[in-house]
Amino acid sequence: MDDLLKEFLTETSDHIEAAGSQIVLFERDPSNAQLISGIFRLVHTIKGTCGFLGLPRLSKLAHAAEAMISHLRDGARPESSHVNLILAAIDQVKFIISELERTGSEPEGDDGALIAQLTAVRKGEPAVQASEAVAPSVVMPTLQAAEIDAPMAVTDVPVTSPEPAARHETVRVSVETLERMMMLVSELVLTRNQLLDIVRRRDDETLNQPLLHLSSLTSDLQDSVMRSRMQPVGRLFAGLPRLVRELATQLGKPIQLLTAGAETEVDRQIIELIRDPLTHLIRNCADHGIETPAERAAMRKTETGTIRVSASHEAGQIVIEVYDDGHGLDVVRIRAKAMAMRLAPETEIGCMNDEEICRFIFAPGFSTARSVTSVSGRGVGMDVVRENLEALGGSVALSTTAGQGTSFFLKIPLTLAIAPALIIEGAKGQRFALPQHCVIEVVGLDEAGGPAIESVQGASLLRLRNAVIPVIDLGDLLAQGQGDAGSMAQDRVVVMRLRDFTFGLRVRGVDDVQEVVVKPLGSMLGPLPLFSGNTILGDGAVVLILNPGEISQRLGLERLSDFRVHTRAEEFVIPATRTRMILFSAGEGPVKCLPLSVISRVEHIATSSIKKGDGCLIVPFQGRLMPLLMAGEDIDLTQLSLCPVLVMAVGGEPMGLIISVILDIVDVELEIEIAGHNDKVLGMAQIGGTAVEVLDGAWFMNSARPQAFARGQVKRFHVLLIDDKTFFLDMLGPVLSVAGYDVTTTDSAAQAIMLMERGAKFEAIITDTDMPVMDGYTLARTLIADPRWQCPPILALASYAGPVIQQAAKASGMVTAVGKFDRRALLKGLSDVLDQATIAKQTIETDLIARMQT
Amino acid sequence: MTISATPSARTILAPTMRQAVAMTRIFTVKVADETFGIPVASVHTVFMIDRLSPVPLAPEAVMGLVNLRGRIVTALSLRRRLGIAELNVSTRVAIVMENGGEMLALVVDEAGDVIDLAAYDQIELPRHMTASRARLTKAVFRHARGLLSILDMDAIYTLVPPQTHS
Repeated sequence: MDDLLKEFLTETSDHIEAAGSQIVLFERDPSNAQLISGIFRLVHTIKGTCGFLGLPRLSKLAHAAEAMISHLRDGARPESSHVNLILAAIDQVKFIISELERTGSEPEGDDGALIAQLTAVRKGEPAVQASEAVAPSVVMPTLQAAEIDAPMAVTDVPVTSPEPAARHETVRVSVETLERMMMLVSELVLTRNQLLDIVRRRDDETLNQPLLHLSSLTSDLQDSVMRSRMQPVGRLFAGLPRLVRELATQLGKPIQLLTAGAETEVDRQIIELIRDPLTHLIRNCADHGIETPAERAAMRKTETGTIRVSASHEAGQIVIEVYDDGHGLDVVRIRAKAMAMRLAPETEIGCMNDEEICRFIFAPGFSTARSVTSVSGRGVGMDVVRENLEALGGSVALSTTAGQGTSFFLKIPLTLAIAPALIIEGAKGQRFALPQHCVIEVVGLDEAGGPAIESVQGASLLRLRNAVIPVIDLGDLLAQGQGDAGSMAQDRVVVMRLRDFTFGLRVRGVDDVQEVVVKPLGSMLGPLPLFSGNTILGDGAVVLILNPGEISQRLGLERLSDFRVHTRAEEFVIPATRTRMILFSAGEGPVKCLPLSVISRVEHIATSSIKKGDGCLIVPFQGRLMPLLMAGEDIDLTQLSLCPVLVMAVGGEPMGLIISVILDIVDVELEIEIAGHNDKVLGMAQIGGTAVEVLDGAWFMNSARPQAFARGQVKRFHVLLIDDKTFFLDMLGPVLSVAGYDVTTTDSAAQAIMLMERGAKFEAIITDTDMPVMDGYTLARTLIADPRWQCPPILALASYAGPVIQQAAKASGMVTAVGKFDRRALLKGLSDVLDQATIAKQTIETDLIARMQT
Repeated sequence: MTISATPSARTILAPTMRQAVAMTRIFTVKVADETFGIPVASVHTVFMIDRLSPVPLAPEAVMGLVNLRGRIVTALSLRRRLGIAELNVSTRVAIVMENGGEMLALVVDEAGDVIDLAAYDQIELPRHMTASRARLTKAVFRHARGLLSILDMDAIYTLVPPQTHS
């Protein structure tokens, strides 16, 4: 019996037992979608593997069972007749497998009757009699014969020579022996370290030399043992020619297989784990990628399609590329399907580029295949590929060119056995390890003005450079409590990133990074999803390895959306809120500045026209008198013929601020470090490395135009806030009202439209994008489209206001999108649109820049 | 009705007789002044534990993980398993055993010696034994040094995960 068959038999008999009990559980609990998906995948895998092992009887049976299970997965109510039939099918699979184990080949006979029943019950017909079911099973062999006659050319052309020139002598060593050696070497390294430590303290010269030798020998030994676990990926490639041959026959497409990099070495454990994903990918390439010979001829391609599998090392990872020269991914169909499946709001999908669209094929249940074939096309496969790879710390990417082919790139770590880990400290100094690959940075909390943890209704959030990151305390995670307040001062937050989520883990301390040998948890400990394994550190201590996936789940991140389109790292960091400031000098003293938004014009006024009257300076301006104030005390107007004046509009009435020279316009993150001592100055801030005085525009306005200023202040803008979650209404409503807006809140788009219809007037509308019944985008379009309402500016409110959301928001006529947790951006966005409504800021800016250049 | 009580002195048998009677070899351990028996076949070694990493969220009987010559072994407290308060000492005696290919350390107060028990010295489980204890006991034997409970190791190893309050 060949090895592949043996492996298949062992694996299947393990799983099939579980499937029987799972289907029974599912019958009792039909709402448990996870249960049925699990069974479905198992049967799907059996079917797939049968296909390439050449087990037609088992394959047909599994296909029929899969169709039935798929029917249940799609929401059909499981009835006892369904379950009985599936159980019967499982028993039959068990029988065939036991026969296979005994004789090495499938037993005689067929399962036509059972298959016919499965099909009939699925279609809602009463179960057919066994005699009627014989007919289809008789037809099958002739069909298969016809398929075998189809043109076919399968060749396995390894780019490197298949066998090394010199035959190495090899010995078979059991995996257990290797594991034991690995363990002993780890122990040896540990003992060496202890010995080195002792000798260092004793300072004994005679021991130094032999110990040094022992030390290097130990390292070499460790390296060799490590390498003995490595195997060439060629082992994985060995089964591929047969697989491709079977696929070619089944599909009637001539396909040639090329392999490269078979000698690339990788940990044996990894080889086993990527076998399934690789098989899935190749099936997909053959079935969906490569065209029929007729189609290929029409496209002036060779009739024989090519699948190329190549492996290579790349920066501590192994990359396996699976390429087919077929027609490439159909972006239009994927887009349509993604919309139909509502994988993301329609407007977002509309804005995505081809690359982003293509990633949807990794979403659960996604399939664009028009017909269900026995090879693939049931919407299982690509999501499993992605899950399997991510589970072992790898990833899958793709690139596709229409009409020319598709490449999938599987990136996999070289070994799972040894990984760098960050050692952190929890309560009572207990240490834990965190896989280094997902750690981005470690943040201290003891710095004043540094990153800080804030709490929103019991949920901890870390504010780090304007990003707001959910944080969980290690003590809470482990149900140990947070410990005493005294020890909390040295706390650190480990910021991690997993898939597209960034989150923090608050720990008592951070030790160092160590290479650790990952070992599975003992079964006695029960299911502990929080730990992915355990390891022994250099000093001999046993530590548990935390599972970042579970941590992110505890923070509710995975539940926010089960599948997110990949977004680039930098998009998460919300750019710092910057204020556009105008820098100028006014007489002696430091450079002064004002926010550009308060200035409506810049004028150069002849000093001769400035008159003193009623205790202040007056100048005729646009046919009226405008009060002037000095930005600095010591500007000597007598020395100048023209002086620049910043005109500020207060409730429609202008006032001027006399300055000496406009220096610059800059975008800065304004942070006032020293509060001002007199009323005119808000305080001192650093801009471009120099200390600058930030003037208080309001004080000047109030001094020059007290009545108008008061009027301006009284005017409050009325804002409508829409979000289906009361939590956000409760959180953001007060934020807006403290900032000086009158707020009306409502929890649905329909309510908002009703308010508008009743004649409510708002200066701005802020709406959540993702709401049931009618989402924010649709609401915006509806409101803008109706001329009755003279729709005020609309802002989109999203969990993360990334570029995709921004684009989507703008596409539906909204002004901008802001993040729900970024209250600064919300207030800034709001004041921007309301300012825009009164003063056209853009024009002042261009005017100013033009003036500075002259 | 007469009860034919066999004197406990019977357990001390002559060498010739020993071959005729079915004997069970038992490793004895002491916990809270009571002696328990473990089938000797499952015992690998006895060693002292001084360093232990606790496992948060694990079943209550799990004391933690220990490094046994490069192997990570789960340490199970027999005291906790039997519902007896834990000793507060830093160094503990552990019996290393194998269960389903996995190494385990059973932490006890004291490791005893190996004794042979004859089948006819087995007595019925006392009816008034606490149900929770009875579940963990395989048999009770008479012995020269007193009555001895043989632990049902499969039952001992079957731990109940703690109730999570999430």
